[in-house]
Amino acid sequence: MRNEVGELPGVPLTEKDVLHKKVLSTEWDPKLKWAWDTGIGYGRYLNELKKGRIVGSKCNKCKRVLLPARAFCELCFRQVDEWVHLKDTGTVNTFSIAYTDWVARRIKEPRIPAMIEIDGSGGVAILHLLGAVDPKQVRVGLRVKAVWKPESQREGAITDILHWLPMGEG
Amino acid sequence: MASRCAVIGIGQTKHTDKRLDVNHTGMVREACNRALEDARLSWKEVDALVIGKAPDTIEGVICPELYMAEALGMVGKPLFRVHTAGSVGGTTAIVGAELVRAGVHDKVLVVGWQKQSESDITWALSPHLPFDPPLMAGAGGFFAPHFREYIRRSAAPDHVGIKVAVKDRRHALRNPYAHLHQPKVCFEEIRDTPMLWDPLRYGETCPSSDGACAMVLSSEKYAYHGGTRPAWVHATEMRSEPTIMPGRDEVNPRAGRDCAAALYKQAGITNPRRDFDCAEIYVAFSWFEPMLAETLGFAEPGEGWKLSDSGATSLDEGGDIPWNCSGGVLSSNPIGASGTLRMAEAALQVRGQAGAHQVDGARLALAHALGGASQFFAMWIVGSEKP
Ligand SMILES: [Zn+2]
Repeated sequence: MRNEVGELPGVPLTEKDVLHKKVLSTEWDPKLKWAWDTGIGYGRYLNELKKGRIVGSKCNKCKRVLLPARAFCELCFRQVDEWVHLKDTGTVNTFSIAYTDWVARRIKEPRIPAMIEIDGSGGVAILHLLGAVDPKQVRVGLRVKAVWKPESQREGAITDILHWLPMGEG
Repeated sequence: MASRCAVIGIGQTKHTDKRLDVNHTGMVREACNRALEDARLSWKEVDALVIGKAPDTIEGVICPELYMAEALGMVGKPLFRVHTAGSVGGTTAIVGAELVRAGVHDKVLVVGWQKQSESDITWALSPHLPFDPPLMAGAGGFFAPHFREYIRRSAAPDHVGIKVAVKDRRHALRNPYAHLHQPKVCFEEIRDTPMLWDPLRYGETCPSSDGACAMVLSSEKYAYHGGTRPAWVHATEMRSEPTIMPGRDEVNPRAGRDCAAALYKQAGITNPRRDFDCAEIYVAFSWFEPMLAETLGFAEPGEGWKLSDSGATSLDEGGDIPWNCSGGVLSSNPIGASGTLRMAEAALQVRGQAGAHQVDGARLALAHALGGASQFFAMWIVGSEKP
């Protein structure tokens, strides 16, 4: 019945003991490496990005366009029927203004992640970045177009799109 | 033989930014020992253990259950590990409850934990998959656009998020186990913290915590074994949905609405605001409170912010439906334990054990955990009376 509450066996360590290496501690830098199988749908999507195109897939039963393209419809639970090429234009449906960078450091010039509803997708939004836009000018409903990396630098990733610019200003 | 399930023991650690004095196992045992003590059971009397924590990449300790099993008394007994991202602690409790309700075991120990001090969470949650743009530093950046969309739809005033953060931090002052204790916390203090991901300020985000929370769940046979009256599990429910799908509403996800509807149906809840005495809801960022108030049916669509703004969810303002009396995720976030804490805090309330954050005469409480990109929902209802 004794569960040694409040009197765990052993000697508690302090932060100093660890930081000043008074106790045995090991540092380990693992070299992590893995391969990731894209599958049919995402594979096609990423390959098409390399060509400067956005591709989705369509389920003819529920008539939805899946984006990124997938091999099956998750609601009808059946194989999709066709690939659908979408435009590289869209509409901002919501956004944030980020004052921190990738590792949570403060940055002076804010970045603007936005959910962009891709034209022709029937309302699917992907999270991406707006470029060279005054934060005060950003609004829901803003029409934007993708700015692609030069073809030689593309690698089959969503980052092959550098950012999105308001239409007529890019 | 199917059985009713009761919570007969609850234990948690003091949540803090660094627990250097214990390793994972030591911290988990601390919570388990307290839960077993509360249930008046020894380790030997436990039939099975269900554990939950968020991804191993967070602390870089891969499959900790491999070396923890023996230290948690599981030699010769079944051990289950559950994994549903941030909701894992809630799901862990539900798996334990289902083992009891199905009649498989009589006394199940469930525990959730995280040692965020040993982690690099931004790295861990950002595997740089080729279809994800590396935009958001942490989860706040991911959810901020959803909060903005909520604010746009509902025309909620900016101060509501700040008010929720102040409310939960004030609740935390009543809970000795809460991580953040800001004795003078006030509206101005939160308002003047740096804007991280507009509309979200630093003060409106959850901390990174080390902590663990354990519960002993028992069949009816052992329900009165502990020193305090049991909390009865009235209903449990879970739902999931994809991160991205045509027609998905990130502000008010269908999985959340369906999960609540199915849960309420099981327990005969028709008006959550009236029927529950209090709720422990996974509010990791301030704006989740008004958003989830709508998803979980405490307010009509577009009206959730009015509930928060009115003081209805505040103990200090004498609200009729206090949310997160413990201080919630906004005051302590040991990720894998955060869901377990919601379930356990709801049980503490209906057992009358919540101390300074007790809601007087609480008889029925709701607990909710959320995981992934608002993808996983795990909920339970506990009551002071048998279901
Ligand atoms: Zn379909």
